[in-house]
Amino acid sequence: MLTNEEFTDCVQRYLNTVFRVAYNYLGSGADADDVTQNVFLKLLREKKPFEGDEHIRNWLIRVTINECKNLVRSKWWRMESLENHLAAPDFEDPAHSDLFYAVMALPKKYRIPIYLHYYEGYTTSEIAQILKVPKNTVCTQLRRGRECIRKSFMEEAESNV
Amino acid sequence: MFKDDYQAVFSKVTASEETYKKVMDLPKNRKNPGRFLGKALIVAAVISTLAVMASGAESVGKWFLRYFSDNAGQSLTKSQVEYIEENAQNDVAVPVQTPTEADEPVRVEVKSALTDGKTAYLTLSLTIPENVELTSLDPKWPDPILRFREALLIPEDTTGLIIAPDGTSPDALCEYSAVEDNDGLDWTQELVFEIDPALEDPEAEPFADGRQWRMVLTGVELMFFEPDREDLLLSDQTWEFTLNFQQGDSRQVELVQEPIRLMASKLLRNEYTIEVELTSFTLSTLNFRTVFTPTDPTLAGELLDMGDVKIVMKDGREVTLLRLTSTASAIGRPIILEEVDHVLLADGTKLPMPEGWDR
Repeated sequence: MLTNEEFTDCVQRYLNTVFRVAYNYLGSGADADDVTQNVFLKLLREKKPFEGDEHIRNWLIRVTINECKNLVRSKWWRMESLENHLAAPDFEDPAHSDLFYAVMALPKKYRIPIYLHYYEGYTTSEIAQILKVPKNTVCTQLRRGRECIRKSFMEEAESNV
Repeated sequence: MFKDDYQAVFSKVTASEETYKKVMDLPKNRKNPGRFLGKALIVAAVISTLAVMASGAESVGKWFLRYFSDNAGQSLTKSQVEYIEENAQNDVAVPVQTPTEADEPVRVEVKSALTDGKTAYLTLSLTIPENVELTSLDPKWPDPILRFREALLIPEDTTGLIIAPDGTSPDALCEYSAVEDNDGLDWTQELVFEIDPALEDPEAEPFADGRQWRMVLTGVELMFFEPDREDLLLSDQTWEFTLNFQQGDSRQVELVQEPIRLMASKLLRNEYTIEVELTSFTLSTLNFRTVFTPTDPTLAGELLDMGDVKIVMKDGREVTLLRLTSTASAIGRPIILEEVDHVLLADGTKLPMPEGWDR
């Protein structure tokens, strides 16, 4: 079990990682906040020892994904559209705002690998392990996710012509 | 290039300050006898709780005692324990469809209920085959979680409730927790469901005496955390029960005598610049409800957040409620109304219990 000091250190280092994974999965800041609190409560109660920082980070991401899965299984959640959940941060650069919406419009099966790869720096093999999918699937998801974003930017540019 | 832009965009996506604060505060509620036993008042509460729990080892409310004290992060007070013992109901469920023991090794039994007419709690006992491994093979990962593949709650009378197209009360059964039963048997679990249906009418009483519900539980599975282990379906059977709740203490107190103007924020923004009018805040033993509307009509329907709200008891104890975002919510533990001094809103506004409310 983590000491209070170790727990505080984990919160400072990984709070936003957990939040962003949940946000990418759920598209909702309020739901991601709830999931983040649940995940850290589980971390506080975890009795098994951790082998190091990487173990804690992987554990947190995996538990976050399971928490999100549980939430999404609820009927009410499924009835609401992403649009209803989405509350975007304020972006000074309009291109960043467009990129945010393009990413959040992707199916979540693409959003999570993209986040883990481009933000957290995980390799495709590591993502495959965390998400319980074959490595080839992760490669495909990353490629298709990028293609979808590129396509949505091209469509946006064409509509502005 | 994509990576740089992506990182610039998602560095803006951060947990709210409230979440940071709440997560950092989690260790304060950690069970630590050395810390809690210091105060004479708490010692008295612990002793009385243990005494009631010991004498009522088979009492109807015993799982609720464990569940609520876990929720609160501390032992319940004597009056909370008495409330649970007096109001827990053991005849809430009538089985409609349950597989026979010969056909199905997984067993589901509804044990007891507790409701104030607005929020309800239900305890279930779940038994799985003894040979199912309930610990993770790789110690790096948490132990797997037992859960129902689908859990539905269907009201017979839908008055005042938001109902999904299939007739179910959305989300009503999505929150449940396993309670440590200390029976030494890994293959039995006690689950407590918190049932907080979505409401159309903020005054609706979904669990008032005479309102009947149907609960349908389908499939029991073991969800693993290890990346290389598939979830395990233990049963694809359906268990169906008719539920007849009996209200315990169904009193509710209105704390807003005159409309109050407050500042609220759009969700996730933490910019409390939107003026709202709070016209009602009702408190009952297990539930609180609010009615507020933005003074700018163009913001009607917007999800707003008014920050943390606390119930302050006469002895100084505080119970922090969920952020004030919805019209109704469970408190998460029983509140003895006679012991409440006031409700404290995030901006410092106090809503005292009105004089003579209990007459």
